[in-house]
This record gives sequence, C-alpha cells and structure tokens, in this order.
Amino acid sequence: MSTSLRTDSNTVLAAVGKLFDEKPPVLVEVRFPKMGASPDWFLCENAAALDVILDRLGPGVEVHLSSVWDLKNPSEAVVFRPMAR
Amino acid sequence: MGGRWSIPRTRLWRRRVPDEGVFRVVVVRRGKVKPTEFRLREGEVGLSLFQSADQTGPESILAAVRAAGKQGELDVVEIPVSLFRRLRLRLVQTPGGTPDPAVNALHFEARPSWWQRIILRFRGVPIHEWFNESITQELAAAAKLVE
Repeated sequence: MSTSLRTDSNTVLAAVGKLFDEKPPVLVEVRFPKMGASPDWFLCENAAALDVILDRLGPGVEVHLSSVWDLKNPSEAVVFRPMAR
Repeated sequence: MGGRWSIPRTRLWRRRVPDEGVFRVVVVRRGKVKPTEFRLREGEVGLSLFQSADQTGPESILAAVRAAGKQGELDVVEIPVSLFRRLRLRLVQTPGGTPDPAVNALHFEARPSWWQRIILRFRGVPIHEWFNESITQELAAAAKLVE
C-alpha cells in the first residue's frame, strides 16, 4: 500500500471531507500498532459516523480510510493518527 | 555443535524471550477465535504479542488494549513459546504502543528469522504475505483462551 501517514490536521480534515463527499461509503480500519491486537473495521456513510468512532480511540492508534469504490486503489486512502480528545 | 556454544546460547535465549507462553488480545465471536486475529498487515514485520509478569497479567493487557479503543467482545489467548521455536520465528522485545507503560514493557514481536527475511526478499515476497499464508493458521490452532 502506497499510503502515507498524514499529520497535518487541516490536510486530514480536507482529505476525509473529500472522501465522504465524493465516494461514500467509507471503509474504516482502526489499527492498534504494537498493542497485541488485530484491527477494528467499520463502514461509515458519513463523517458523523466516523466521529463517533474517533471519540472512543486512545492514543497511538492509526486510522485508515478508503472508499469502498476504491479498495484496489490504495493511493486514494487517507491514513492518520487521531489526536487525543 | 560444539560444547562451547551450548551454555551461552541457552542463556541468551532464556534472557530474551518468555519461558512459557505469550499473549494476544482477540475478538471472540460465538465463543470462537478466528485466524484473522493472527494476521499481519502490510508494512508490519512481526506479530505483536505480550509477555505476562507478576503484577501485569492478562487482565492488565486486556485493559490496556481496551483503553486504546479496541471494540468488541475481547479476550486474551496464550500461545506457547515452543510453537514459535518450531516455526523458526524470533521473539523480539520491542516497546509496546498501549496507554499503559507497564504493559508496554512486556511487548514482543514474533518475526521471521534474519535468514528467512533474506530468502523472502530474494523471492520478492512481502513479509506479511508469507506470514499470513504460512504462520497464521498454526498460531490460530495453538492459541488457547486464558481462563
């Protein structure tokens, strides 16, 4: 997968907004790196549903978003680490 | 194998890896644990696992992973260290990523040996593909839910 981790929050917001606006629904993979656990998977129709998921996450997790229409085109995926709330 | 190697190698092995079993947090569906719980994602070089300690047992590991936001009906499985030896995987101690420093200090990764990685690179096979095809089922079959 040729995705890269996005760290700038404005860039992430713009990329996530574009994904939901243009190609919903979005497959959400929540990875738990070095936490001895497999990823969680969710299907979100809109950004509000993603927000509910992000609210429950602790530090250190990694979120991978892909349109279900682009699963074989990973360059369109959005990857970021949510900020602690 | 010469006698001069037997004692130091045994000591090194014992220092680096747990003695009996290592632990992983899994989702339990209808009382069963699926092999997908033991797969590597692209970019990963080893399966994330934890050792247990007197004050930091499976309950602490489970709580730390829950605190990170892992969802579902979670439980902990134990996998015998002997299996990793048989599969020629190395247990390498690395810092964990949970919100609990005590749990993070007990983190290991099960990685292919240096030699196996050379072979995979030579053949152009990504580590995660090899692991998921050759190792995942064995780990799933050996993993036992912790009572």
